[in-house]
Amino acid sequence: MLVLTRKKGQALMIGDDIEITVLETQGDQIRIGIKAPKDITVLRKELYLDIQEENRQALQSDKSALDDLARIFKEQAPE
Amino acid sequence: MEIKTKAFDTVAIDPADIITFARGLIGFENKHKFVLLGDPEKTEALVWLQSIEDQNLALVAIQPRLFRTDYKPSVHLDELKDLEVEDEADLLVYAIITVPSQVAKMTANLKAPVVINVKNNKAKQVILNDDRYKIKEPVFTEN
Repeated sequence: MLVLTRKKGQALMIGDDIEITVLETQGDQIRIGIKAPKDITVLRKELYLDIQEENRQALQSDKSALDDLARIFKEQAPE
Repeated sequence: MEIKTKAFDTVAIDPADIITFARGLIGFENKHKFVLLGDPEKTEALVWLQSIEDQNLALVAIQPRLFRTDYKPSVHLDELKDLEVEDEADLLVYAIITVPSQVAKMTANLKAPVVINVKNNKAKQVILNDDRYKIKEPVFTEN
C-alpha cells in the first residue's frame, strides 16, 4: 500500500479526475472530501463488505423454504 | 445451448437471453454471464439469477415493487454507464433475496439492487446512497 502523509486542507489526486482532500481531523476521526466523476462509486467500505456478505448469504438461501415461498406468492397472485 | 443450474438441473437457454455483468456481482466479481430463470408453474414473482459459468452460483431475486410499491431507487445514469441506457423505461430492477429456513423472515436487498437494461441485457448491481433502503429489508411485514 502506498502511504502518504497529508495535513489538513491538503489533497491527493488519483488519476486525472479523482481528488481526495483532508478536511478536518478531530481525535481519531478524519473528515475527507472526495471529488470524483459520477460513474465512480464512492462508499464506506463497511457497506461494500456488508453487501458482499449479503450476496453470500443469499446464495445459501434455504431450498425448501424457497418452495414454500413460491407457494405463498402463487396463492397471493391475482387470478 | 444447455446449462447446468442450481434449481432446475439442465436447462436449455437461448444465448440471446444471456445477461452480462461487466463487473460481476458484488463478492462474485469474476462471474459475468447470467440468465434469469423462472418457474412459472410455481410463481412469476421470483426469478433465479443463474450464472452460466458456475452451476452453484444462483441467487433468487424479486421485483421490489411487488412488496414495496413505493420503491424508487435513485441512481445517477453515469453510474449505469456500462449499461448504455438510452431510455430509463428499458431498465428492469430486481432485489436479491435471502431466505432463511423460516420463510416469513425472508429479506430483500433493497440497498443493492440488480439493474438490467432489457435492450442489450447489460446489467449491474448498484449500491444506493440512500438510507431509506436496507440490505435486509423484510419482505413480509409482521401483522
